[in-house]
Amino acid sequence: MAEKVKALVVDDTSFHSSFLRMYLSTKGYEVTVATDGVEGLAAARKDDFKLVFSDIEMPNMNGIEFLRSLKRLPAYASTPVVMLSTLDDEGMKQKARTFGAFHYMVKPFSSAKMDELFAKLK
Amino acid sequence: MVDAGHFEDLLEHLERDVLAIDRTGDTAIVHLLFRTVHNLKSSAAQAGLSGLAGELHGLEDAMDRVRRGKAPWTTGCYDQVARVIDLVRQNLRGDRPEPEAPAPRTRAEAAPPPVSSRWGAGLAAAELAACDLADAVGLGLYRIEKLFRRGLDRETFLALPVMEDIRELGKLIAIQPAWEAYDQGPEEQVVKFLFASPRTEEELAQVLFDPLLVLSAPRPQPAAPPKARLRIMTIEDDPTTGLLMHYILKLHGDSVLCQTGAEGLALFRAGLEDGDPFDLVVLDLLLPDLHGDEILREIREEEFRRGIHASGRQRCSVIINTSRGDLDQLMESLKNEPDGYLIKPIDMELLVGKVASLKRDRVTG
Repeated sequence: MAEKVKALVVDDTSFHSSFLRMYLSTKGYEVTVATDGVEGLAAARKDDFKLVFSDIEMPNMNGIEFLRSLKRLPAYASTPVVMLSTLDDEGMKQKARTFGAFHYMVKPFSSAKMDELFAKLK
Repeated sequence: MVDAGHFEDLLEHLERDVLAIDRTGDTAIVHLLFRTVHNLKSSAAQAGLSGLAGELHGLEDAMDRVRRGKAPWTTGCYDQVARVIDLVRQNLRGDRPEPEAPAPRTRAEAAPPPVSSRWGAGLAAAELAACDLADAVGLGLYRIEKLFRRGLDRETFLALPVMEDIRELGKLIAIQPAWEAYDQGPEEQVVKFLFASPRTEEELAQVLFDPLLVLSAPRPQPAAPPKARLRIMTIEDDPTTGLLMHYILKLHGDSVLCQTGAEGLALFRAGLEDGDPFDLVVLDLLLPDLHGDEILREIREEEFRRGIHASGRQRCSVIINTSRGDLDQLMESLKNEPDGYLIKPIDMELLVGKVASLKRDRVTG
């Protein structure tokens, strides 16, 4: 049986990580959940994720710090990272893009938004 | 579907935190409160409660202003939190929310805010001295307040991106609580990073995301008056290379040659002391007494102590030179941010090109 593609979800709210875990599982991903950037970075170093989602507001290491640290790892230089936020703010979107985010998704999630993202990922 | 248990948990956090602020006057708790309101807002939006999410957005915005030091914590904040708690409960019960309902609870008189120094409570004498020194030379003093969960080991804590950012942007003065106290502290706590930097709040905000409090803004540095000639120092222990560079550089300014790091540093300090600083130091990395990296760090420390800003014109330009094939050493040295590097045997044209560009910037005529 072919090995599943791995995705990493970094979010301190289980409410949101559960939604993403469920959605990504239906897309055939094997999902790992981390609850902050420190855990996320440790998981990324140990494994080989092909898609990463990260919240921005998190304790210990926020999403922007996580994104910058992740993008410095050669293995993740071209891995798509989707930043998640409730803040629909152009400045923050720009910052995320500058640091290498593939997409900035404004919460709440919806199937339509996720479908749009996957169309972009193809 | 609304997960009532999840909302109730968040409301309990909110009530606990707002009461804690009321009781202790410790506004650092606003960071915890902000995070709970943020989670409530995103949960409400995800559950399709858009009206409630809008109310929570207003509260989140107000809490964000308080945690970033842009607004004080007032009785109005307390009332706003209390009103939103009731609105969430009404939504959970399916009652029609009353957006204009008056605050349904009374509050005790808020405790007076804790006494703290201008820079923050509990700083050691050496840290206070560092604040005063930075302030005296016109550097900005800032505090980042960041929410932490207990459980990070010391090594991870001290290598967090926030520490790296502060090292790049200025000088760390103090961390409160220090790792030992953080490790023994509550499950969730706010850690404050006090640092000095020549950069403005806007410049720092390009890199930093967490709330940044401006304790004192940096003062603009006056532009250095144009000079008649460049002051150049070569620190090189190999007499052939040293003399060759010295004679070539003499054609472009007042050049001195030092064969040891200690001699070079003494001259560099004397230049600053006498108001006639060096414009350029060409620095060999492998010297008999001090390593070039150490000398470069000392030069930058000395400039920092005197408030010479990293982006200002007064900073001395330092070019390191090293042997071909010693790329690992070169990569290490570049971390100290020299203004340029040369590989031996020295390409004199390259060196003269760098001197000419410095001359255009700093010398009259």
